[in-house]
Amino acid sequence: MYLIQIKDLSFSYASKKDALKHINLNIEKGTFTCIVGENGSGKSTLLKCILGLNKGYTGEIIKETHIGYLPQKSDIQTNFPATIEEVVLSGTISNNVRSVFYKKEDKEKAKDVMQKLGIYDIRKKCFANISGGQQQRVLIARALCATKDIIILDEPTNGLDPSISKQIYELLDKLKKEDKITIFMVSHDVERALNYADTVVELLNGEIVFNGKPQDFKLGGAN
Amino acid sequence: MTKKKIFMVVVLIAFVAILGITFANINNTAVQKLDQSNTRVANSSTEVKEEKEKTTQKASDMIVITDRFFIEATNDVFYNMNDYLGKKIKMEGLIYTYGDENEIYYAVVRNTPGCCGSDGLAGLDIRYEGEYPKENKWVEVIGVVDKEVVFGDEIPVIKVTSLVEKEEGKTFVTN
Amino acid sequence: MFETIAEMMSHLFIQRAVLVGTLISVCAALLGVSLVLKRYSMIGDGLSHVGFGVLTVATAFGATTPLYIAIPCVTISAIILLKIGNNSKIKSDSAIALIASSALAIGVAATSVTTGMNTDVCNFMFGSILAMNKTDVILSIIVSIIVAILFIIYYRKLFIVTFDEEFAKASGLRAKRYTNIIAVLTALIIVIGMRMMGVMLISSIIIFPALTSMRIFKSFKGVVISSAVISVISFLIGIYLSYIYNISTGAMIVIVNLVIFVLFTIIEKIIHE
Repeated sequence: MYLIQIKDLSFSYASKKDALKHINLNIEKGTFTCIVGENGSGKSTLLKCILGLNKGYTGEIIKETHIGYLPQKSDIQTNFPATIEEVVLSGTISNNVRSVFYKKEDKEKAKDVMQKLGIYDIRKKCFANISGGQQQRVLIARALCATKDIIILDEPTNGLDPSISKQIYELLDKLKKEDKITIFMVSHDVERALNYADTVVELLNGEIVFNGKPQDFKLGGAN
Repeated sequence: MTKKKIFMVVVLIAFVAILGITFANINNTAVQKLDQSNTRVANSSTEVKEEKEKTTQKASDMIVITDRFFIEATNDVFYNMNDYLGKKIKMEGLIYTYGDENEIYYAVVRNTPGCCGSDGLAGLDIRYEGEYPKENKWVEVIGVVDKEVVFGDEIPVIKVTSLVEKEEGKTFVTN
Repeated sequence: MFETIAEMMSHLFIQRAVLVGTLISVCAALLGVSLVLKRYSMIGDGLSHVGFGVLTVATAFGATTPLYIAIPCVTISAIILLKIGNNSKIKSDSAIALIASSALAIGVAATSVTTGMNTDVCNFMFGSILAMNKTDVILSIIVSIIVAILFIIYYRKLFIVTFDEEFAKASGLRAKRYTNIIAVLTALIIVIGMRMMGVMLISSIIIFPALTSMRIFKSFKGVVISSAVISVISFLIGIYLSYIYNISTGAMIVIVNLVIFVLFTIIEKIIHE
């Protein structure tokens, strides 16, 4: 079944017309999809439309479920005083926006997720003081608190060492296989992405120029 | 947050507090100048205790404006005049006069920093039945707070019951 | 020492000042955490200058409780300034500087033309905790309680919006709304707090406690609680020392804040040896 269906999506920024042109894309449950493309091809724009961060697009986006999000790294977080526990717990907010305090089930969910990702023992540590790889792990945990079904990641391996990048991909792959989590990510790391993805989508100037299996992409596609 | 950290934090805050207190005690001589200071001599004889009770009781009926927070204290009489009307008040300062050819007014003031230099003044108007001392003489006045319209504004004035010339005290105050 | 404290607290207006000052210190510190982390530290300065301009012009025109005029004006400025900040970082710096200095200049000009540089103006600039009539006190208490309650209610969301605005928006939070809430609460605290600390110094009590706490505390909750505690302690020690040494209260409070900041920085260095 399709968790997300995108039908004829077009979007223009005030400063950039036709950032996305007639995008048609379906995201199937249990798949690992990588979006690749040059800078400015519309990858982040597409994510933001799906997440509802860009408003005023034409076309249709049908979402069957809550989405967990891992945004690009922001520099506010470099010295931010927050424990891993606080960061992960904040992911549960989309489950009950109204209430004042975290509920018991929120805290339990956060605990489960942290244990699953192997960060429960360091939960009292400061987020700013852990390694880049661990930070991404924490943010993935946060995204998983928002959903059981699909997480969308925007360049999660940016600025990470190759060995750490590999760990992240391994983790995502494991989540897909063991927990049936659908992965949808934007990546600059084309080589590595091809090893793990079920589907590769290439964007160029706001249009999809390739949408298929990684093997085919390596061989030809629009590359 | 380890327990060690919490402990260090508490220790440091206490340290800062103690520093402040120690500095304060060096300045104890300033306290002696005040009216109530007569009672603070460490002496456990009952005589002194009785006197202490008497003076503090008298003090609590009367508003005493001291060197400390002089400007704030006198300002407050202006801002919250109604709270002070009819109350006994005591203050010290310099005699000051102002007015025009029709009427001269008197006040007890101290010098304060103005916005451009040290030319500010703070204090309260006084109304005295007896003879006013010369300007810039240091006095201690005791009286009752009343109000009066001067140059179109309603201001508090002290209806003086006792005026005593004294040795000059702290003529310049900053807060 | 205790006698001096008792003597100080025997004055009614000091009791009032301690009550109002404690409430304001707590609220300023709480908001300060969010503002510092969002890189909006200069907003306190900008808004207080606007507040000064409004208060002096209002007083020059004879308003009896200029606070009632200042509050809406400063609130609107806060919302505008934060909006500009969102668009472009460079612009927000100059916007704050521009608005701040213009407001200050207009305020000073208004005073020179009408009443001249008098105690009122000096009080606005450098603070006078005790220049408060009953309405001011009640208003301050109500505003502080509102700020504190709203902060507690929105605590979770403020954390998320401050830590990661993108994620917050994706989770369905209207990040703009919470930024506006912070703006409004900041404006309120600044207008009320300006009376106590003065235009020049009010932003210090907003940012210092947060900066100090962040030296040692590494959780958001820890920083928030510590900021509130440090702020109150600084205020109380500050007012006491200003009483004894006859130093302007606003300045003394800031100096105490500074000393505690330096101490915490030293502790931080020691802990990380």
